[in-house]
Amino acid sequence: LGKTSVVLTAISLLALAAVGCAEDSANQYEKAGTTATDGGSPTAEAVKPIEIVIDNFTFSPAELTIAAGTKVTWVNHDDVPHTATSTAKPRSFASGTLDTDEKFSHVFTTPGTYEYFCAVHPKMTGRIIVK
Amino acid sequence: MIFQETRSAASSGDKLFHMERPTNACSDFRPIAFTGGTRMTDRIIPKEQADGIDRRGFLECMTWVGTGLAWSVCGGVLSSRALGADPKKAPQAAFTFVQISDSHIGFNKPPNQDVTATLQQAVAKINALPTRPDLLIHTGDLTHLAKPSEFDTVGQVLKTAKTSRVAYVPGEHDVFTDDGKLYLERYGKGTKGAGWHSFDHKGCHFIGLVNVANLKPGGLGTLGLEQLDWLKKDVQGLGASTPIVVYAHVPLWTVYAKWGWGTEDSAQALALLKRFGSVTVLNGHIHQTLQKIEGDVTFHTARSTAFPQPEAGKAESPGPIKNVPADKLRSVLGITNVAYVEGKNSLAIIDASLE
Repeated sequence: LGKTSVVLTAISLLALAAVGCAEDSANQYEKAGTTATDGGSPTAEAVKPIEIVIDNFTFSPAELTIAAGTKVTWVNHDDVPHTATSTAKPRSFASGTLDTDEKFSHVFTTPGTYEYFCAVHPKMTGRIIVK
Repeated sequence: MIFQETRSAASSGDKLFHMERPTNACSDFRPIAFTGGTRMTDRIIPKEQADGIDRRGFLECMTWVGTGLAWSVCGGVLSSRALGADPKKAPQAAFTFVQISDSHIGFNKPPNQDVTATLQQAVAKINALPTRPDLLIHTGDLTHLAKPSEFDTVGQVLKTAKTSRVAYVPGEHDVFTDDGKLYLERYGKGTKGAGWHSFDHKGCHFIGLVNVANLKPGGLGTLGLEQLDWLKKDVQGLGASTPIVVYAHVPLWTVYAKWGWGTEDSAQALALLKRFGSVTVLNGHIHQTLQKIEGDVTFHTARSTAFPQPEAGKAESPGPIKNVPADKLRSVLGITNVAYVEGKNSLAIIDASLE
């Protein structure tokens, strides 16, 4: 009985150790991925909602890297209408008309690179990278 | 053959021309274009006389077209015989037509919180012209946001214009919300594709092109293969002496690529028109007058009836010039009057402000 108990304990410990290892490596992987994505910024900031400002016919920031699940909001501060329209077909998102001070939000759930532009002023382009 | 040789010399590019500020060479010139506190570059003066055009004749010609900001428009060899040496023998125009542009109905911010009123003033200006125009051409951005009520207002105001026919091409503001569906319903009846069309009027061939549909990210205006193919067929039966008037919203030459002021495939359209002795290209979009003559082609942009925009590259963005004093606003808005003289193949373009 004593022998069995020791063996079981040993197995349990091994199992725990194995789980611990798995968890550790998963965390590390995630951290490594997040680090690469955010260029060193803390993980907590990546999931915060992010605002892209339209000013002087420019998206700011024009390129943005975010974690999956992040909500991005565009706000137009120009005196003329703009849009944030995905270049993909079919479009993965399209704001429709954003007149002065109007906003549009989209939650990016799937990793990938999302190019977009202003359908009124196509010289205006932006990119969102979802990790 | 002489015609063709001369053309190739002229089409060697812009080298034959350079932009200068207006001079007082002709007493009737009264430059009135005024944008953001600086005089605009208004007129093109030939650097050389290599194309054989009688430039003095241009200036004299302008005396009969009246005051306002007058442009020399008679590009190409044929125009040299279009202009009589004696300005007193003023030719009578076979007909005139008017271009208006960028009414942006729905815009309500500085410098113009009542764009309907300024469109009405533009129509009043048209109705007060000494010669009733045969046609009225609106070169796009009828509306600001392509709303049904905005399209309604445009129609209601332009209905009061004393003219026989109104032709439209859309601007990007008219089509961006619904890929032009409402525009085509209201203003594009009987047109092809995204709204392109052509018609003949008293010997002139008018072509309305659409360069604001299917805009590509990062790109300029675009005509597209379908429209170019249509254009090719549209003009193939015409004699080379037929005066051609082309109108589209975005300039059909690159004014300033960084701000999207140009059309990617305009060169292909112009190549199809190269054999014609008189081509006049009228555009809007940039809310200021600008002109270029290249060979037999005269390019011209009209003022907006709503608000002025900065000269290319002279501001951070092409947005409206906001700080126009209320008493100066009408001086930066305007209409364009064009006269065609039968048998002369020359079109005289006059820009007039709403003052």
